[in-house]
Amino acid sequence: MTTTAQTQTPSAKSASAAETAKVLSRPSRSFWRDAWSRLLHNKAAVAGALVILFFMFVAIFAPLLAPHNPLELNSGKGFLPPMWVENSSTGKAGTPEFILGTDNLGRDVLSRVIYGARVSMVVGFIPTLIIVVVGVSLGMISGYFGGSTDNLLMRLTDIVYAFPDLLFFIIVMTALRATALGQFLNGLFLLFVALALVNWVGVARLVRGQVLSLKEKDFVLASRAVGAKDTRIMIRHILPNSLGVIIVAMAFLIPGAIITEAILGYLGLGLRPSTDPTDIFITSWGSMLLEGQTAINNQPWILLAPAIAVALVVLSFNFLGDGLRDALDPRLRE
Amino acid sequence: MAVSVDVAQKDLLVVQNLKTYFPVRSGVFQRISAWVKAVDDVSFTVKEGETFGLVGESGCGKTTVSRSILRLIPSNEGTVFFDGQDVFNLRSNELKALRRNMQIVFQDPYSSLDPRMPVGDIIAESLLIHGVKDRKQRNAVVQEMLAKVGLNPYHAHRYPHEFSGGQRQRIGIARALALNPRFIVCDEPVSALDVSIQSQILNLLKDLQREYGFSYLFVAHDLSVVEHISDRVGVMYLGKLVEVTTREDLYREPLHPYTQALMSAIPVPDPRRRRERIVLKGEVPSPLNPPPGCRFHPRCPIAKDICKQEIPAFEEKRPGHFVACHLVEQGGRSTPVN
Repeated sequence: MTTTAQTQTPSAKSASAAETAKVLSRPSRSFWRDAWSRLLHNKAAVAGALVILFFMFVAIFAPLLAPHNPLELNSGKGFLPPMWVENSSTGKAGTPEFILGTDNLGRDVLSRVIYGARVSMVVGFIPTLIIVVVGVSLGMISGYFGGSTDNLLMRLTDIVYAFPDLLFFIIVMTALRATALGQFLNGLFLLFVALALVNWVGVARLVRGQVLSLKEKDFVLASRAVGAKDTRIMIRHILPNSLGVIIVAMAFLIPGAIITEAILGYLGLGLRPSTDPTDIFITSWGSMLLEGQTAINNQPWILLAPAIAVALVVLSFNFLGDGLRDALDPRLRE
Repeated sequence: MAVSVDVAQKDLLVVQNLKTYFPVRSGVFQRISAWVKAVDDVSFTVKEGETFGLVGESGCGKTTVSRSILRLIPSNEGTVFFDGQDVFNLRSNELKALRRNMQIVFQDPYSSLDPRMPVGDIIAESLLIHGVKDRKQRNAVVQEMLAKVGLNPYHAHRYPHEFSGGQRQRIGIARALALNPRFIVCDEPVSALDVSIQSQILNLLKDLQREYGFSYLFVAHDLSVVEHISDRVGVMYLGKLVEVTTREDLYREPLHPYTQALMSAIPVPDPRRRRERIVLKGEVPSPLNPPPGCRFHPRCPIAKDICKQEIPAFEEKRPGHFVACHLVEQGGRSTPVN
């Protein structure tokens, strides 16, 4: 650029200099933009994200997408196989009216799977949000201030870690099932609380570790040297530098919560079965697994459909989580 | 302690008997089992507008001194006066006001800039903290500072990873300058840089000093760098100052045997000139358990019995030339090493 500019007339020279300055002063790429473009180059992560978006869409617009009312008992149309099965062991043929067939009460399986997505999505995201808020705050305080606060909090996390998760869920869900708390949102609220109580420790430990290493960095000292307060250092310097790790942790917490819901549903401890069509959360994939296992020989699709849905969502979150980790991994930089 | 502590107008920073120890914790209950005496009784002054170089090998406590002065780490004993103000005895708003006047440039240009912040925000952070609410005003200062350190206006929107080491160090300097301080600690500001870049940064620091008239505490382990930039130099060994004098005196006639050994290690860019090198035996002892008496005695080529028993006083052996050594006579020469 400069060599050609030298041979040109003065005006052209200044024009090209201006051009150079313009090229150089293009908006710069922040860490997040770089990470975003790396994520978009990861095919598995993009596919996972698309599947997740699809299920979110399904969950939100379930009433519009479901071909039937998921609670409607179609009398005389029970035990139907999926539409592509012409002769099932029950002697009935599938019809296009019920794409994935019906259960023993004549309820449409596809519609129930569609409504089940709502529970899985909500169970994935809401407890994770609570976990991240609690875990990040406590982890930050623990790591930043250290001392006896840190000691106390870390011993608490040790205790929570040592307690068997599933046992805790079963105890909480059975003990409080009959209470008002246990009935709120068909029992979902209790599930949120139980999940959050168990899982915040992982995030708190992770964030604490991040804070411990970040607070020794010179940029934190530099900030203190100009008179920054602790809250400013935590929010403006330590949090943004830990965010990548937190996002990756979130991406792996969500499928964990979805699986837990499915397990508890299968054990009959998840969502309370609803008969009220105005409920938002009518059934969950976990509850469907429980319903489906009794008819596994005759109507495998009652079991298969929610199982595939769970597997697909969890797999997608894991792909996305892997992609996020690769995109946000600081070791790739510098 | 015979350091002249008259807070004359010219003394901007007076450090007296500074001690910074780090606790060593062990066992289940994390009891303090020992102390690392990183800085043990250090006194010196930095005059208005001068550059005070602080040299010593790694681990001798140079950096701890600089951070203690700025109250970035707590000290155990001693006092620091900045322009007559007792730095260790300030309320938080007074300390904040003081921070405007005392700034720091760090050694590692990679860890000293927040990787998630654009350069403009890094430089403007101090302004924001000190109440410059108007964004335009802050931007104007950022632009001015970038220009002062030889960067371009558009660099304000870039992130630290887009810069080279030398450029990053310039950003660090711009950040230190933004509050228009009177005193800047340069904590090995060039030791992480290539030699060719080192001189650029050193000259930048010199030019800025000429323009603004501030004082530097220049911490380094490279003697030729210190010679280039300092007016007076302090030599540290194992948490203590062993010699403080003007640059000319120190490089012409070092009195302390440790300084003499250091000086003899400076490479001479002339293959025909042969220099007597004083090679010290052994390693630097641990500051956890420093040797009794003179801390240098186990490695000192001329150590006598007294050196093993008595801690030498830090005395003015010649006008303006302080040495902590039993074997340097008052007003006279030290015993020659060989």
